[in-house]
Amino acid sequence: MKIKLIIVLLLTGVLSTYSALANEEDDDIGKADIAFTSLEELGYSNGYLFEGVSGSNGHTMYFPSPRAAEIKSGVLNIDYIASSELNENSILRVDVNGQPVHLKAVDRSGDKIKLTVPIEADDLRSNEPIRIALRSSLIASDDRCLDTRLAANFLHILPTTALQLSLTSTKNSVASTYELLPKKVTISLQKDISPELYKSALVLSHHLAKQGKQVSFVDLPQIGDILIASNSHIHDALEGVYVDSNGEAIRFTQLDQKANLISLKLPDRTVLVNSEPLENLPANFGSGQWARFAVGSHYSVNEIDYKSAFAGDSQYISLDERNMDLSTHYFTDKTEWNLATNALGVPANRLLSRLQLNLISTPNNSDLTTFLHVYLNNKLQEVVTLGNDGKSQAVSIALAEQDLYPVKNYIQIVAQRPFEEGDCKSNKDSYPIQIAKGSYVETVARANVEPAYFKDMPAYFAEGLTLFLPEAVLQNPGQSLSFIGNMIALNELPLAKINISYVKEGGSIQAANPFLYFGSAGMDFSEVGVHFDQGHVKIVDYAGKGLLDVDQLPNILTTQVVKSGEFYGVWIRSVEGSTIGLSKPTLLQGRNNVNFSDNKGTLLTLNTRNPSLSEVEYKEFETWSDWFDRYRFWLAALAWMVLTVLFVAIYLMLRRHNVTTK
Amino acid sequence: MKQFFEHKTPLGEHLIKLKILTAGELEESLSLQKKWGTRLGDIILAKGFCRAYDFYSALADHFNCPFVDLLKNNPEPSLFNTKDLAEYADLLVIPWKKEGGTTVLAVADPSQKAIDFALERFGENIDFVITSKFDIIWLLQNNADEFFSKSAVNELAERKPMHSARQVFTHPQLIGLALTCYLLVLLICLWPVETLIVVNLLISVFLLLNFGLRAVLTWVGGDRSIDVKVTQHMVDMLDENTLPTYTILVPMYKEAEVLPALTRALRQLDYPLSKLDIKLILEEDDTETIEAAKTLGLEGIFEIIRVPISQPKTKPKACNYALNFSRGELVTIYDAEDKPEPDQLKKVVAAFNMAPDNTVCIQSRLNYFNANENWLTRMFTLEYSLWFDFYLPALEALKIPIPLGGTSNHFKMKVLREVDAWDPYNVTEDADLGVRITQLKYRVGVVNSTTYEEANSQVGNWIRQRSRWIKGYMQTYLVHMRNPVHLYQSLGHIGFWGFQFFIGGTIISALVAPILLGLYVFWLITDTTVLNPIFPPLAQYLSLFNLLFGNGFFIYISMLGAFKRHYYSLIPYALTIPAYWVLLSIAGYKALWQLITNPFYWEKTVHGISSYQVDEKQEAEK
Repeated sequence: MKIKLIIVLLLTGVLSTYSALANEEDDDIGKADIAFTSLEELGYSNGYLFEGVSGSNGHTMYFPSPRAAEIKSGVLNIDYIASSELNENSILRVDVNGQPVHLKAVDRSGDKIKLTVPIEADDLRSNEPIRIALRSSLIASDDRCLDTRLAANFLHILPTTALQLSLTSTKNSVASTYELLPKKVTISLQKDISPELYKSALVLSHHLAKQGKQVSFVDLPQIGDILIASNSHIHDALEGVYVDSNGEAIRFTQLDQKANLISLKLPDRTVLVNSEPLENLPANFGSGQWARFAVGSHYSVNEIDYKSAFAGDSQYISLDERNMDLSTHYFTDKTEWNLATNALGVPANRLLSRLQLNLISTPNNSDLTTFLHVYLNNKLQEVVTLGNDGKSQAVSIALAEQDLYPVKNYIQIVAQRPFEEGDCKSNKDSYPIQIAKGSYVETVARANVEPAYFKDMPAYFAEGLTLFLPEAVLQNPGQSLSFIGNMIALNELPLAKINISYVKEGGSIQAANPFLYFGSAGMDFSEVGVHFDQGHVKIVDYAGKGLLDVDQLPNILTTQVVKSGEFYGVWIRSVEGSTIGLSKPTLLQGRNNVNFSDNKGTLLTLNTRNPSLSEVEYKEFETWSDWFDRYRFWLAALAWMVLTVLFVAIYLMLRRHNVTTK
Repeated sequence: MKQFFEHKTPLGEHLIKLKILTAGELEESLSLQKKWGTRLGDIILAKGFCRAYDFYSALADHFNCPFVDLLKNNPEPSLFNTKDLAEYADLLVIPWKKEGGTTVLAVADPSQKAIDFALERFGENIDFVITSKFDIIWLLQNNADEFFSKSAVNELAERKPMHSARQVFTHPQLIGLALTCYLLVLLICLWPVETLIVVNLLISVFLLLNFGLRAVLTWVGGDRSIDVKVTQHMVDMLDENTLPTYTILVPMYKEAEVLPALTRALRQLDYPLSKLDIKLILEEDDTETIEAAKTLGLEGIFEIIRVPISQPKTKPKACNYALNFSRGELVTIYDAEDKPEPDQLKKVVAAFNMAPDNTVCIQSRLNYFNANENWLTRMFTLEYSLWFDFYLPALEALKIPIPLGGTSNHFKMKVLREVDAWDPYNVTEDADLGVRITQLKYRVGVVNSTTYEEANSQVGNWIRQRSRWIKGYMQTYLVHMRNPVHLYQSLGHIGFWGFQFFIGGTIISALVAPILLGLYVFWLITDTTVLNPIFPPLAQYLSLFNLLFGNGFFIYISMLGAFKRHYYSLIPYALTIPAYWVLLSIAGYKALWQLITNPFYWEKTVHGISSYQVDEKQEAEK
């Protein structure tokens, strides 16, 4: 009996410890000292694929390193899938900043494998990009004469592969506090929120969303990672939470300074404070591209001319200035560069038009030619034959406009060299290739077209827009802030050029420029895709079969292109009482003008301007054109009959006149 | 001639001897004879120096012939030959009776021509008696009214049915119209928006071209070299001796009150009176006007032509009837209320002399003497000023068929008879005749002489009149578009399209304008977007252009018309032209209705209601 009890206790203890460890591990991700970067964020939207069975394959990636923090440790979480035809000699090696940190056989089960590679702090350096090289040897057989063409083995490094860094702050600065924000950021707001406070919170929410952080809002006196409130509200909140050893409330004298942006050191943590005057949008200085300058602990922020920073010449965007990987790649058969164009900072009113590369490809000792494949959003643009003389060569590739996405675009540049295939043949030589300085992307101005679809809206918004919000959002700002911040980040809307205007209940909007209207009440729009004032709304296919019934499904978010006066905008409407904050914002792309979505994503998109496969039906509301359309054949028959009677009558009348006169 | 009409003393002396004429009157008559070159008797009768009965009695005595009152001693019906009616009327001779083997003819104008006719018809055994020309005319009407009447009504329809409006729609036209309507219904059923857009565009383009034509006409018509034709010098240079006899047809119906003013105006014409052959054309049932004419005791140049009752009861039929009794080389029509410029006839003669030989018609300008009576008369005056001072000269210059003006159009009698005169079934017989003349390769000219008429001062009366005009235009269009290929070949490219837009454009504008205006007002008031699908950008811009520039231009050129006539006080009224067009559209729809229900009905315009007429009447009655 006692032994059983001991065993139970031991097991309980083990289980508790395990669970605690597990929770701790999970909790680590939420803590304010973790920096997290995935392959997808680096531009590897499809991850990286090692192929072939002979020789070794390698690829180097550069992960960003925080500037104002010290790296305690790191871990590389590699998600991969390896083909099952590989044998046990297939390996994966990880080098960090040139140091091998991992060498292990590849799991060939064919399932998605999660590999955790811990990285020591000594192998990591702050303020420098972290160079991580993945090398693989993919072997299918011990037979060295096996024809490599016989198998198509692979090792696919998935885009969810990420580097996670544990950091400590070296100094109490706004920049470091911002950099050390966890993946899940909590923002505390004062209860009686003002429009200026709302805007400040929106700016911050947007910047955080751009960095891939998950933002949630709480009310003071709950203390989150960021506090946005007036000084008095912050004082009250903190005094209620933090007391000294004598039980008296701690007075945080930093708050008494004349500053509206403060990195506030609390007994247990450091938080970022945005306070009055909030109309100067101190959040702009504490986040985004200005944050690197915020090395002090507190600032009195005046208005920032945000748009003029980092503007540059938008016609030519230099790749080396945008931190693209310009190191030498050594490859046997294939190597690639990936570029996410939002990282290039292409303005929304310009389009990518040409990629101009300055390439150096060393000669090889075979007659085999190296080819350069350029993909734009996975669509092949051009294949260029590279010279073999080892000289620098300029390669110009036109980027097709029809392959461009309105917001983010991915360019993949693949250098590929065929090798001798056959029994006992393999080319183990690696050859260097480099995209050198002087390479750039050329842009052209977008044509001014009247926006009709979502794809036109990002460019239409490029010069600025007004965000119309119902006044009611100020009562419960959390949901809308999160959603709108994500919306702005996702669609690369020009945050610096957004004005917020609050609409009273029952009021209307007067659009003086492009706009984004967030609200459930319909306005007097001259053009709208789906009407909500014409009764029950149903989406049907060409055969009349119902696809979506908007009135009956809760939590449906409708996003559509509308027109008010002379200006177009986007109206985001939620059904009354829905939990809008949980919905995913709509990516403004595609040749559609209406989008229905819920918290899981898009349910249905429509093109109401040229309905083909589906259209909107208002069973309770029929316009004269609907009525005419329904009965047109009957009306035509009636008209035919009336005309016949009429002409016969005319004929008889005229004949009577003719007889009379004769 | 001497054989039958011997005389010892000159007629004038004989008349003095019989105390029918005074010496002064004779002297004046002789003086005029030298100037005018006509017969003394014609001058005496024209001047009204004596009664016709007295004159002819004296004439008989002068020629030592019996005088016969044909009204009391009717001719023998067996001698009357309808085939010789034209000669009877022209020569004023009629077979009276047979006495033994001799055929006695009654003659009012003893002449060699009359003798030759008699010899040819009846041989050597003939004799003459003198009678009054009025008796001959009355007898002719009495005995041959059915013949003349049938001829007046049916001649054109029987000789050239393709040119007669007796058949309003031909079968191909009716079928074509029906098929077009059916096709439109089908297209609207299948592609409603697209079809309506196309219809909208077609109408807009048509109106644009209509406006364009009028712009061109205004531009061309404003050229002074086209404008002024006959100068005063040319008129003064005319020798009255060589002037031709002029028939003036004055159709009237229930207009007894304007007779005094009318006759006064005609007497004031600067033309040898004895060379005027004025026919007062009265309907047989208009006893009031007939009695009024008789009561006036009009001089010999005025002849009353009584038109027998028959259908259609129209002005062209009456004029056709009266032509049978017309003796002039030139002929014109005046309405009862007309006031032609005194030298108009001479100007026309001069214009004919200057014009090419194939010019068979000269149109004078029309305008109104009561322009400033009220808003309606002002608008009417603006319209007419533009029409006659700009459009018609331009039409002539561009060789586009001229729709004649209904009055004050002057014809060569021979050609008028050749083309079978007016279509009695067409209520704008003048417009039709203008096109028909042009189709036959004859020419219509315009002269710078004005006839002043009474502008309609009452809206109801105006609508009645205008609906008749538009109905007539519809009839004219339908008649001449029976064979569009032939029309194109005969008129040429410019003439054909000018016809389409000038005649057709007038009709279409009247019918379509209220629909478009209604849509515009509806949109303006309700700010609806219901109409947006059928107004794509091109249609929208066209419509807007027509609305603003087209209408604006019409207002402007109306001002030009007033400016040219020095009617400066009318210029501001041009801004109210859109309201005038509303009336036009009302008249247009009335016309369309009547085209189907009563195509030949002549909507009578009441004249003599202008307050300006009161003084005229009083003056005339003096």
